[in-house]
Amino acid sequence: MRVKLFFACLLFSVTAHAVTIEKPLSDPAQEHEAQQAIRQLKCVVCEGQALADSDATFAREMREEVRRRAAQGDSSTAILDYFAGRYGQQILLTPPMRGTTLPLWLAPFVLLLLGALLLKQMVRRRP
Amino acid sequence: MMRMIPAVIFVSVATLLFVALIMQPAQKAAGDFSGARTGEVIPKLPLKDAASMDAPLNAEQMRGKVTVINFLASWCGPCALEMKELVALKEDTGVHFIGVAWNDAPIVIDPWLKKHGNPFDTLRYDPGGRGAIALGLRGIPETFVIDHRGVVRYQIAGALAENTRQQLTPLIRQLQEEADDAR
Repeated sequence: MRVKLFFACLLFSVTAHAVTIEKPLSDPAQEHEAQQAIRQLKCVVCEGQALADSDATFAREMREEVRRRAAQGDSSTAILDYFAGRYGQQILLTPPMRGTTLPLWLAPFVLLLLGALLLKQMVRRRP
Repeated sequence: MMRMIPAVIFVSVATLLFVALIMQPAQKAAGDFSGARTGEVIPKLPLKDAASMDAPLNAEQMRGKVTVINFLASWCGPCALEMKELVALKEDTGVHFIGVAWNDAPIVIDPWLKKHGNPFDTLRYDPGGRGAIALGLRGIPETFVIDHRGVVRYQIAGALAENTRQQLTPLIRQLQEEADDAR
């Protein structure tokens, strides 16, 4: 009985999570732009956490600012540029493809290619 | 040729890691008060006054004098610790001091300032964080020193300690001399 009670408490504990209710914009197109931007931003006060996932007060304020700009007609790109202008490119979840970030983008493909060549060589050597 | 592939992979990964490491921003030296906003004209800060009325701050309002803007809150421990240094900075330089209470209310901040010290000539409120976001704040306390043209010259993230206050004082006096020369 105690074991059942323990697991019942465990089940309900995962649902006992404070949720911040945020009002979406009344214009669906503007809300879409806001959501696009929110999904591509990091929370600046929660290391490594996406803005969309954070319940921090400052994260909520950032989302409000995103919606305010979307309501003024800004596209998601313009909103991301605004935040990147203030916090640097590191606020973006997906770094832009430019000179300094090119190694970051190319490295996985280069390593994959080298790995494939190595595998081919190993397969050839088998009797 | 094919035998060299493992070595090539190792050298490639090592080179990428080395490049990434040397591209990391270096630790700031003592007395380095630069930040993301230094060299830029301060943007318009959409702030409120004690009556929750719009009371924005912009570069035009700061022309002709040196201004220090400090973001704080009564619930912020380091903010309480640095107040005595901000008061000392005000006494040493007489600089125009603006406090911005982030997510705080007058009913709380007023007695808090009486308790910890109040260097501010003007107090504004940032209830929705719009001023903080406009300046690219990552946390509080954070202090900005604005010159007579409205340009951010120094930016200090975190609480001001005694040694940093002593380093900052002559820099502010130098900016005040620049402002006097410009008149």
